[in-house]
Amino acid sequence: MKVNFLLRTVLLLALAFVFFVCLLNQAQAQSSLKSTNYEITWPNLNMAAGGSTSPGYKMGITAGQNSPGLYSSNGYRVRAGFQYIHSIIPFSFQISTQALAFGNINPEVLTNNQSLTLTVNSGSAGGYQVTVWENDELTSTALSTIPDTACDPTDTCTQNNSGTWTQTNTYGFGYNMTGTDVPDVPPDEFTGSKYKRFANAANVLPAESPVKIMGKTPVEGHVAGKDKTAIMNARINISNIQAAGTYRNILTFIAIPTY
Amino acid sequence: MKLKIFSLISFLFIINFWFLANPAQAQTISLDIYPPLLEVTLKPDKSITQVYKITNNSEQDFIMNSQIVPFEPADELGNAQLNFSSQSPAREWFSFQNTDLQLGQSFLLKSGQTQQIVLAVKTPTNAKEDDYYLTLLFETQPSSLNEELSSAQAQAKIGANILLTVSETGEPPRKAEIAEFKIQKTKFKIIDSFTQPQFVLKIKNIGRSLFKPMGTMTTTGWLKQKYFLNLLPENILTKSTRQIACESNAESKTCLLPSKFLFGPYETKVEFGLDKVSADYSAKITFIALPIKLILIVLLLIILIMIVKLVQNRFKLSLDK
Repeated sequence: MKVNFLLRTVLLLALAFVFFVCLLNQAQAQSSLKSTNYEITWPNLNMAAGGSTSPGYKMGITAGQNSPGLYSSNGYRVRAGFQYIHSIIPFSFQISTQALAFGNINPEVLTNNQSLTLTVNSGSAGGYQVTVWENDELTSTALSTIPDTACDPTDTCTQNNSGTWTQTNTYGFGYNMTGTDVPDVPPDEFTGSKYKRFANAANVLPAESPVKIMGKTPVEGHVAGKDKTAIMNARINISNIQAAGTYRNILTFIAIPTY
Repeated sequence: MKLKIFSLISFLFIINFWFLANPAQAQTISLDIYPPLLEVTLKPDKSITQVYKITNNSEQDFIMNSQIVPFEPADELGNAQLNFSSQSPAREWFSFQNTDLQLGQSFLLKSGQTQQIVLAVKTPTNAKEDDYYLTLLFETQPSSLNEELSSAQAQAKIGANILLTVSETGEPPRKAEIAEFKIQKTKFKIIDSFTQPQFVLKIKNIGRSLFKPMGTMTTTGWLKQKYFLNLLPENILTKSTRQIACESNAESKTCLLPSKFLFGPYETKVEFGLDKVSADYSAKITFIALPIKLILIVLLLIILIMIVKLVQNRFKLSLDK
């Protein structure tokens, strides 16, 4: 009885494997890929850079070509755009506001928050990145500063690594991100009230660089498309003894396609 | 009469809404640039020009500025790291040919306006044969705000990358090395039959100029069934390693094998050439696909059934007694 049952199970499994192997395993080659925003073909395409004239200037056409003979005579070879994307959709970048206006900042609370939305249309680009850094710490006209946050002492943060910011006696200026294409390395970087401080262009020892806050490359799973959005939530918290004044700085958002 | 009053109120409401709503919209910064990438191979003492279009889609005019900034690969994924303090000599080779605008000079970009920029690249006679990677950046000037409010002002920079190769022959020495070829998240070369294997291919540029790998990843099964993944021809810059994406019917370009079920031993071979389809470079890996999860489920079911039967038998025996 038991032997029959086992035999039937094995027989059923074997039949299932044969079914999958015979019916599902078919060679699948791809030659092109289309969507409303782009068309990708393979393997070889040359794109020419367009010439143009206007009352302001006049120029000749610059065109791409692959022939070594032509290169010898002309001395140039030009290709504009990504080889595997046929699209004239511009690379677009939008910031929802020109300033995070904090107004009057209340001390010892975690409610001095302001947000802005970043929107990218990566249609003609193979991928993109948005980075941010500040010109300096928030500084008053009397040159007092609100330092960049280091997050809670139990889970500190830097410009590259996030940390928890839940204590009202944790001071400074920082941000977190949510939305499309926000880097998730390490995973859940910004979940659970996690923040980072801004990279600071004024720091020289060691020097700091803009930090990626949005964007994907093809290998990271970039999907060409419109209206990719991410929201930056910025926070300020100050102590009771913070010098009174109007504090300001500049956040520079840099959006570039990949290469 | 009532209709007239209603119409008047509606009209006033719309006008009021229009004027109140616009200031909020006016705060956005919205810029376009085209083309996003320019690849140039140029002899020393030669020049080319390229038209760029920068558009202000904001509701407000902006004072813009421009600059050329060198960049280098930031990682193996294709991200770039701008180097604002770089002293690369190539920065001096770029200029604008617009009669009314110079590179680095501020200009007004009105709301809705597209400014055509004619970027010229001229290599000097003594230009070193090498690759130069730069970004043409356009930036807004932060606007003046209420001096009484604490704030962080936003400045937008939008750019397009330029990959410049200076070469006498047009065929600089290109050389690659396969740095890594494996299946992601797999140990002992065994995968589950119902898991699509994702390949990781990293190529290192050990030559003197950038290149695009062109080729195919071919997976062959024990019944000679074949699956193909074409490599996405992305630029691998000098002295860097880049993980390569694949063309795929899915929107995402990860190198995911297009199969829902695999069984048995497989071999995946990658073959590619530099800027041409060939088999100049190749590597292969083997793996075995087994229905591990299914076997575990079936085993669990068998054990469960056997336990149930055992309990039933013992219950029957106890009843018989």
